[in-house]
Amino acid sequence: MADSFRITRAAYLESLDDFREFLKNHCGGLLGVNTDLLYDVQLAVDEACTNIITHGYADMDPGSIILDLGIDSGKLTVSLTDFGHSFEPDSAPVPDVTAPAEEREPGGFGLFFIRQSVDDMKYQVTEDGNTMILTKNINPHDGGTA
Amino acid sequence: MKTEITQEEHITVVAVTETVDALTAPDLTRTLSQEISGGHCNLVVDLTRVEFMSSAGLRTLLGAVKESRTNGGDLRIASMNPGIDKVLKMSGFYNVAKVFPSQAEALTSFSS
Amino acid sequence: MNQLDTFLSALGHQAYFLEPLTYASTWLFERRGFAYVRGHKLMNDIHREFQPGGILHRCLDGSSVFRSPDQARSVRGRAWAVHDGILEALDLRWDKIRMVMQIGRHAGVETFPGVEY
Repeated sequence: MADSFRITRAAYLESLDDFREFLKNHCGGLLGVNTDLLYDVQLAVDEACTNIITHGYADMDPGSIILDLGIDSGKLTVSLTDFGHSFEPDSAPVPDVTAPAEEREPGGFGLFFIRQSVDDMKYQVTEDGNTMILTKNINPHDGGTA
Repeated sequence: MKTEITQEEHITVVAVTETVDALTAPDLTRTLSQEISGGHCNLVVDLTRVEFMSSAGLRTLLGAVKESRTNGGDLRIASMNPGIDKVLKMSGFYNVAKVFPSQAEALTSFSS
Repeated sequence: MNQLDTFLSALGHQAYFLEPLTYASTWLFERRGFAYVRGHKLMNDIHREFQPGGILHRCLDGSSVFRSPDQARSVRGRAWAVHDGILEALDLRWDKIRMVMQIGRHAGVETFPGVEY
């Protein structure tokens, strides 16, 4: 049986905590609180929202981020919709995780962490807004993202 | 995010609690920078009581590692939370700096 | 879904947009299920500053008919103060609010909760 939940907050950094709490409250029972799975979902959402806040709504009075959480047997889906600038997921550089400290560039981890934390990421840009859809398999027998 | 700073002989311990995300990471950056420019270049950043850290926190730590080494010291991490450990591993932070499961072990590492 | 939603949906639209003219109409649209394209932070700032201890709350000092202290507690009262220019105290203007309704889906935004008009 599927469940869905929604939370909408203003796109500024103070809202990051609200999104984390929301996920803990709605997924904590299913995934367990303080587990890797919950952390993965919180991390992916946190990184995506941070991108929306710092780039999507840069230079304007920010609008909303709408988070839709869907829980279905074996699968968790989070959609994040915003109405700011869109971005190109494939053009973001992949950080060099083997480089020593002196060669590290400061940025670039957000999208990388998202991809490492969830099983699928889709990004849709329409005239009705930008939506990132994150999917995490939560059936332990599927293996999912280790 | 809260930090508590203590001195253990010639090493400065910065114990962090709550969360290090894009909102709070700049405060940690400022705190670590202040310590380093104040001459405290050997640091242990204790993350064992941090509940959540994102790539923003990672950026802060990388910057502080570089800064401490440029000033002739080093910055080492104590981390126990598996989620935070995963963030450190995913980013290859283990290739960059030393991470220990406890503050005590991180401190001891400075004497070897 | 109401008739407008059904009509737009039949045309293939998933959402529609509008620019509310007043603080009061913005609040009404929130209750209808609208979220913000621009101006969510502004609405949160306004709510925070109308609370006791806030800058706008302090400006409701009875110095004019649009600055009566009890205006902080109602949507209509706040709207009078906003459109009388009280936001200057925050160096802000009532400007560029844009809202969006995702057809058939209520966003659940409440920047001024627990109040009737």
